Amino acid sequence: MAASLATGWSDAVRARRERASAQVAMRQQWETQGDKNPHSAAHYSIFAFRPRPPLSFVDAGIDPYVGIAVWLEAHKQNDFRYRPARDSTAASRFGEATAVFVLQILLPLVLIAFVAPVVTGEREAGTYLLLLATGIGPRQMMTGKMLGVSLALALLVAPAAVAGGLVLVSAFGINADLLERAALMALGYTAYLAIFVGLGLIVSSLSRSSRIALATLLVFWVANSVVPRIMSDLASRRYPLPSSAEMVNAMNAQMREGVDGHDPENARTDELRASLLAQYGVTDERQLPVNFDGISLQAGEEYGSAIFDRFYGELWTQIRRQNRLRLTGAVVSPLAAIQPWSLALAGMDWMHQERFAAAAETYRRRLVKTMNEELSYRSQAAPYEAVQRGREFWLAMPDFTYTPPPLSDVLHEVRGAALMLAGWLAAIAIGCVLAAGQIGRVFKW
Amino acid sequence: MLFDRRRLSLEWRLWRREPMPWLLAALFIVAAAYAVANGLAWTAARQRAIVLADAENQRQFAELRTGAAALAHSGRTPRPFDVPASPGLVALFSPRYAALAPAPLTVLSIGESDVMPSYFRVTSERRDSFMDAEEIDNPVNLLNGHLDLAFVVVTLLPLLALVVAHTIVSVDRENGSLRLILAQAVSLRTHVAHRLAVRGLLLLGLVCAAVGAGVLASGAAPDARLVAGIGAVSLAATASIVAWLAVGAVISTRGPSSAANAVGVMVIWLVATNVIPTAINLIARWRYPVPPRMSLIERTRALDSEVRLHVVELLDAYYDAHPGEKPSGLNTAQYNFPLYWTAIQAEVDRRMAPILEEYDTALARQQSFVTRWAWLSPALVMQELMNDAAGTGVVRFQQFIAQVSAFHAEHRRFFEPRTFRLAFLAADDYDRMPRFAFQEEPVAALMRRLGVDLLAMMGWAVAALAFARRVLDRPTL
Repeated sequence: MAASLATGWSDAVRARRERASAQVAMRQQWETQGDKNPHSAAHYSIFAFRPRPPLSFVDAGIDPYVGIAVWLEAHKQNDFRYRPARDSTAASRFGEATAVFVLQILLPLVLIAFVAPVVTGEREAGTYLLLLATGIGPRQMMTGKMLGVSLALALLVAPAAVAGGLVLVSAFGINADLLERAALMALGYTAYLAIFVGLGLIVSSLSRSSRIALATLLVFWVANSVVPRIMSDLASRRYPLPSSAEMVNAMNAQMREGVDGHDPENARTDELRASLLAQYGVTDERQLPVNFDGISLQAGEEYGSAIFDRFYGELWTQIRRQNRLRLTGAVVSPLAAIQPWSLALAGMDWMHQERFAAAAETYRRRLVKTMNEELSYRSQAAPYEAVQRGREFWLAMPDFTYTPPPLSDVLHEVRGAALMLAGWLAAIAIGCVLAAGQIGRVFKW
Repeated sequence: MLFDRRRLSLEWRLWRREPMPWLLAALFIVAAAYAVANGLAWTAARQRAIVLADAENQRQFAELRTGAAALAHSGRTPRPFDVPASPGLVALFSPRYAALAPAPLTVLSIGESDVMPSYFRVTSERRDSFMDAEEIDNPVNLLNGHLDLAFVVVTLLPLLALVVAHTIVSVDRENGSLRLILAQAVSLRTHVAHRLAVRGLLLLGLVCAAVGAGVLASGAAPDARLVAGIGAVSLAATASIVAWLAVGAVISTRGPSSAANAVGVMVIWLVATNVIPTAINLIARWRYPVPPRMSLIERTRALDSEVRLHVVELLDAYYDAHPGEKPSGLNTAQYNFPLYWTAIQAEVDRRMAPILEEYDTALARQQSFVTRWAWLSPALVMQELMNDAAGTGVVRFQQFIAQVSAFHAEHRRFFEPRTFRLAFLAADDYDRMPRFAFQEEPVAALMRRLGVDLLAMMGWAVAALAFARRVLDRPTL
């Protein structure tokens, strides 16, 4: 646990430092790009780098599978590029040495090994009758076993949790929002591990031997680990996504039908020109008090934005549907519930990615519009290269900033996962009560 | 003869009375059927994406060709921005798709094909601008991975082998029959070997049936590559089953109890299928770190800005080196978008080559390190073998990327001289344009790689068998 936290921390800190430095460098490059036409500047633009929130050191989530940066250039809503997974070897698909692997996979296995014989072991060792002779009832015994196992688990996990908390506080100070997210993440994992403790006790109580109890729990552990994978495949097939080529070609086909800003013979461009000439009562583009190229480019942007909104809207809706379907796997696998909970609180889930992509796209449209308007309204008809702007103008464009979604939005997003975890806990609690009543019947001596 | 048929038959009759073989077979069949269906769906989706992209590409170029023919027929001199006639604009705005079709055995393993693109949109832009594009997918699905046949064979099969083997001796010891068995005129080793053989044959039969069903369902035409792939997967699966059954038998013989053995086999399984591959990957990343991609973006932009400042000098240098190609009356200082763009992209690409080389070299070293040490984990070797057999391994993607890079250079060689001469494209130029077709490596090269992985798997099987033999000769009573 300590090793995985240290590895995760080192990766996250390095990634945060690199991103911060790259974002600063982007701004410097923007400001010092030299004199050029504002539309050329809109093409040059900037890259927005996907953030790495502090808690990503516990759960790096989708980080390897989403590009690290997006180019905010004119005319296009680009996809994110440079997936870290492409800079990894095939061995990385077997898993990463992260804290979530320990928490989600390894600790449940340790717990199973630990809990499976706690009740059956008493019988096999012949101590069950002795226990009853002391006046302890089955429910008291179950409670005691649960407390004992929980205490042992706490002793195992607490040092790493405390170390993780100290590292967080030392790096980011006493940040209420961060501490709340960390506490909620810890709460989720406590519930997840409690499910294994409770289930282990139930199975141990109802099994005739430690061997059967262990085998049953191991089958559950394997199923728990595999179900998210099965659900991912099911979700992909139930709600298929378009291929990149399919989406690009479909968007291009729609763009061709509209004003693209670079095609002076385009019918829509002609229509726009005619309407502008009529508006200003002139007969030639060169007589316009505005720059037609700039206005045409912005019209193309707005037409394109509507197309992007439609296509990306559909794509993102489909991904959200996949994520919702995947969560239904939590009915049989607590892992399918803790995974979205952990990803969301670490800020490494799809919702955070979608919000960041939307913020970057909003900034792109603002930047391009600012450039096009400078061309449209502050420079009359002139050859493209004759319209030049410099550092002062670039400085006036605000920098790209991004605020991650508030905790309330995160909690709203993971309400389904929380319900699933709560459902499991409730079922386990009922199961424990019922199983306690069955202990005597299972042990026929 | 190593095995006695009557003993094998007896062992099977004894085992089939237990629920275990039927449960195990049912579990495997369900998982394998789901995995085959997944592999088929994945292959079909990849194939569909490529067919759609190719159809659109052909439509676009047919339209351009018709446009160029119509322009020639009209007798009008083309203008620089007449797209069908402008080599610079066609090269930039009309990408050529370079696609890697799924291999016949892709149904067996999705492998790296979910993170590596199966096609690129090649234009006159610099190489990294289109080579780093990503395929659309839900990142959470990528994080979870797929349940394909490779997952069943690499991850679940060892688990099933361990499940059937981990009590093979301990149960007899616990119910008191081990001493009776040892009192027979047959060694424990022979007794266990027959028991394991029955279990192993069932597992092997299930694996072969699953692979056969996958191949038949995919409708792949038989050829040397297919036969080599199926043969390597079947033999490696056999070695894997032997190795894991032997490991299970060792634990069963030496372990304190069946319950403790169960935990022991789970730990060993986890170490082999997760901890060792993860450790190898971590060491590879630590030893051969790939420079941050953020700095690549910064460096590319800085280079691009610098080259733009010197575009006129670049063009002048080109025309000095190719004196016959300079159009009469051309003033290189006068802005000409296709000309400037082509010159800038070519120069940035040339200067980027050593920078990109740093990334490719680091990645190649990482992968080479992983391949060199993969034998430490049978799961890692088996996965690499299945990926290679299925055509979804790292090597095939590296070959694809190298061939696309070469195609990009060929694309450049076709369009650049025409752009610099300010020539116009005629309809028959469209017939001469380079097209991409992926060339598979020779079967012998594939078989060599499969052979190395197969040897590693067999090494594991032999080592595990030798260890099991030693342990079974001195059982704990």
